[in-house]
Amino acid sequence: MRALAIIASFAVLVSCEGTIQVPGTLINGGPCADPGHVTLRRLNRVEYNHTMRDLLGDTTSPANTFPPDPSASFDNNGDVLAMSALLLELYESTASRVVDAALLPPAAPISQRYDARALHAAMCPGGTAPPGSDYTCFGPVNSTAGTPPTATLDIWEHDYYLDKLEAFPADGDYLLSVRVFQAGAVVAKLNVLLDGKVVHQSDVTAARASPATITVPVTVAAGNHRIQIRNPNSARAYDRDLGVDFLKVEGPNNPPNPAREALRTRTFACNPVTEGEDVCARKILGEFAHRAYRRPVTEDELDALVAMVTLAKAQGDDFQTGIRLGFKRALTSAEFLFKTEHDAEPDSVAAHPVSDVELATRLSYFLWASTPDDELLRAAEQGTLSDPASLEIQARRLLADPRSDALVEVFAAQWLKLRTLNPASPALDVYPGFDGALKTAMRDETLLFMRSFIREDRSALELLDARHTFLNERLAGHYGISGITGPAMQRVELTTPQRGGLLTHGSILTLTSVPNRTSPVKRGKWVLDQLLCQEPPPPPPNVPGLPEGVDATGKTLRQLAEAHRTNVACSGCHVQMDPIGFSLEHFDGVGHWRDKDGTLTIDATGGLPDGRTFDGAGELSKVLKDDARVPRCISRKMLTYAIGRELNNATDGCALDTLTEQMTKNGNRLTELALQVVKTRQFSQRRGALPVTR
Amino acid sequence: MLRASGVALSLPFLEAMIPRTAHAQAGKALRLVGWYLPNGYYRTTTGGALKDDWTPSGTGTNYTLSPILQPLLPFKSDVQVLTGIRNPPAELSNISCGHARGTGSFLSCISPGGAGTLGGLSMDQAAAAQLKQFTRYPSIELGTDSDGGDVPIRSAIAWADANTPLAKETRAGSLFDRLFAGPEANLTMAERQKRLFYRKSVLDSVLASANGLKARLGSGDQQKLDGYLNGVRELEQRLAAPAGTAACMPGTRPPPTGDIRTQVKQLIDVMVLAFQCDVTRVSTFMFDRAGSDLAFPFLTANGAPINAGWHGTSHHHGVASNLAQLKSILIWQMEQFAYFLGKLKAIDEGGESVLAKSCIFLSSEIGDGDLHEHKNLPVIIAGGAGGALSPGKHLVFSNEPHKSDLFLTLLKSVGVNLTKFGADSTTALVLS
Repeated sequence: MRALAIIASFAVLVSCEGTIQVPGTLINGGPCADPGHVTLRRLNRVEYNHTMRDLLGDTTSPANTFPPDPSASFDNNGDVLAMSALLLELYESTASRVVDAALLPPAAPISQRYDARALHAAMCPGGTAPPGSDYTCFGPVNSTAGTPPTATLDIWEHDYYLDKLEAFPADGDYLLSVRVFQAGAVVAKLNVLLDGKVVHQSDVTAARASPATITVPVTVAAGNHRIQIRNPNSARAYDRDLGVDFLKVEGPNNPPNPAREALRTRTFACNPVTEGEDVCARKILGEFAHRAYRRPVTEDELDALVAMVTLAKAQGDDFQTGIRLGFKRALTSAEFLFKTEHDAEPDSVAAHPVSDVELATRLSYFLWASTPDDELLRAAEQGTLSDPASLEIQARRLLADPRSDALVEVFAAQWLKLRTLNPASPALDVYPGFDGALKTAMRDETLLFMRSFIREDRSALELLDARHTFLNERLAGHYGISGITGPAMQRVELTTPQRGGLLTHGSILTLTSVPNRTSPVKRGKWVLDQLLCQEPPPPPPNVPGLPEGVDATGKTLRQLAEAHRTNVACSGCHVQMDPIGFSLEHFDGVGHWRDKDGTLTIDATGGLPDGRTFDGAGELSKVLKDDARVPRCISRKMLTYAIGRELNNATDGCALDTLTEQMTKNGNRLTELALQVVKTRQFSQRRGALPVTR
Repeated sequence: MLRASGVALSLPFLEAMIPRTAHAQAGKALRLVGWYLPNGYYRTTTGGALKDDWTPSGTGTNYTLSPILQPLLPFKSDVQVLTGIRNPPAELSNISCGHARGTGSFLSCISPGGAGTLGGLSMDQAAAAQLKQFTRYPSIELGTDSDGGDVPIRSAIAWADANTPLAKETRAGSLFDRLFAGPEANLTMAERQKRLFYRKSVLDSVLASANGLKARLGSGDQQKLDGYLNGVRELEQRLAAPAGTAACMPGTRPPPTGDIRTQVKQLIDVMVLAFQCDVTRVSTFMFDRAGSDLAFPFLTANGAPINAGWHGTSHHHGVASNLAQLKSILIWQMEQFAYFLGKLKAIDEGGESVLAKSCIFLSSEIGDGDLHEHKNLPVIIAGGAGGALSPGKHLVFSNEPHKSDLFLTLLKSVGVNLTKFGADSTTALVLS
């Protein structure tokens, strides 16, 4: 009966995963003249990460710990992105952290040595612990009565310990050293704690006459951290004391970061002593804000930033602290966090070009998912960017830059729904051995594959049947391909007819499955949505249950699903989706090839309503490759991503016609498509919003 | 950054700055919680017999907990189960997916729209608008999320207004850091004060220029910017609240985890801590999102691990194996809820438990999973709201009262007196 339940669930999966249509609009000049309205949008996580990388050299991807962005077709959609108090707080505190990490002067490394007795004396001024502490002071005697006290300290038991709040000057790796010995007859124990967590524990057997130095490597963020040396024994037996000589803290031990040094040098090129603090503040902050706001700054805006330097000085802090505060203020402002675009008459729906600097922002976030570089900003500020020839030159330059990998990692990854691979968790009893490493390799295969199409200017249609891919040993083994060794992904020319093209990638096959089996309907829907842009309409409400009593034994999924197509209420959509999904049934829920489904023969034949037939993934791919809907669909996806709103068939249809025509004429190359997208009215113009109706 | 060398021991690092306003209500700090479970339950007739393991049998104070609600046995006198609640605005929405409609109106009782982008003020935020005067955080939003990328009405239940869904925190450690100033734990008082001053100065400055920006935008864009402006103002207010002298022991920061069982418990622990330390009085917990298709391999049904997705199974069609899986999943969900109730009950505040002073609403966006119905909703109200609620009973309503009317009652129980809520309220529902 499991299978029956599965069939019944197919229908409703569809309606709840569709994309959205925006209601139509009409303005002067007819529908084709309408560039559409893009709603004010904040930088999303990946854009924020890239922008911090390009502005401040930060490579930690700080927004990865932010809540996930909501998404329409893509997660840069202005209608779904919002700013909440939680997000604002995260942007604010992250800006502070990233600026400090980038611009704090390199800390002189520390090498501090604290004698045990001195530590204890600091904890127990005048021999008594401060009120409210959980510490008990004890006299500096050692365990053996009569032995003259040495410069060391014998620690009796766990509520006696040594404690040091150390100021670590910079993020990095440090070395804690503790010199210890066994002070009594019984083997001593040592615990070293950092901020309350044990980072080292061991027995100590070294003799008093020759103590041992234990080293504990730790990695910490800049700031104060609490180090404790404890004797974890709880018995007051006096025969298992831990003797401590000293604590040493040294570091950071990290290699210098030339990129960070270069940034600091560039930022503080103006010398406030020789040129004057006010002059330097205006120069440094003006230049940074120019880049952060993605346009020239006004005098008022600069005044607000320079005020931070004045503020810091009034607090007794130095010029650099003030500059850092100014940077933080710039990165917390709406001008940075939002891609603002101005309409001279905000509520008018007359189309007008976006300004050159706004166009620069659109261009760089489209091709790089990041902020414009200095050259692009300059071209924009010279007023030449909107000139078609200039725009093309800049677009080509950005495409040739390595940062255009964003088209793969951000655009293509979302287009192909790779993001849904993250939560996919194939059942281990059905697919033993599936793990994170395999999932990563699957994702990498598809991303590297997409990248090869952009970098090598290949026809996008070959995505369906290319004879190359990227595998490491693990993934190759998963596919039954021998001869690939090692964990690194390598380009492979495929010789087996089973594999070739996106529809045979483990990533796509896994994300279109459910945890314990394939889902032909999900696979069919994926092809319809992502390659054909033929979103199946939602099922009718109250889809009637399939009759009970269907005998599921000995039947494949396909045979059971025939009931979909004989039932008139279901067949409209399923006659499109099911054949596609079933043609992929030779691949199980994690993309393994299988000749049979258990003991049952697989029937991978199918046909579309227009009469075309295919048998298996290879033939399906060929049929799709000839389908005129594919180039149009790819154009649609890329235009949607480029402008940050969903499309409307009435007003954006003309642009899609042009894009499809151009794409087909130019060998279906994705780079060509990107250049054509940049030329559309949708990309270079905008208008105000129409009143919202629910 | 200041260096502090040879610093004397600061006060126990467990002390956090817990501001209380001068007129904090002593003793009657009332809390409000909204708790979301996706995918409904089952209420189906197969082979003639009604199969419903959620709805208790019997009514009034003398009722029997259902199999799914068994984990609430220790708290039977602290909860009331409501049967028959309906949410008509969800039925009227033009969004095609029932899970999205129901989730988008889960706490707001409006018809979600836009392109899945328009919601409405949620009842927890209506409460927070008033209760925030007592606490540092107006509210906290928590939950788990399987992050497939979704429109806001599917992935958020707390909304400040129609355009502003509130993102939920899914990492207990990050939440802990924010609420209990984790990164500041080792700063001296002077260092903290200066940091605070600088933050406030930056916020003042950006607020001023953002107001200027707002004036130049169209009305739709202004609404988007409002989310930013409100966020800045809220953060400013929080920083301006005076530090209190009461000590609160947050303990150690919860470590990162990949196991959903640990994640849920950690989030509950931080929420409880936030209530205990009076960091906030309003919270929502959202388990995953609309149409969650999570598998639960650590649970079993009929001896086998639950490897099928929850959403698929929730379209049960009366099939026994599906019902068995749903039962297991829902029992586990109720165990997590019971864990939460237990922790609240164990905190004594002036002779009463925090549970006795709370009003907690647990439900799902639909009733029966096959029907995607926005009526016969599964509803549990936990807590006594300081005496305003009388738990310990099963109420069956035959006239399909509106969820918005129930919310008027719940809001009133924590001292928030509204005459209207959502799209269709008329008068507060009497719970007897």
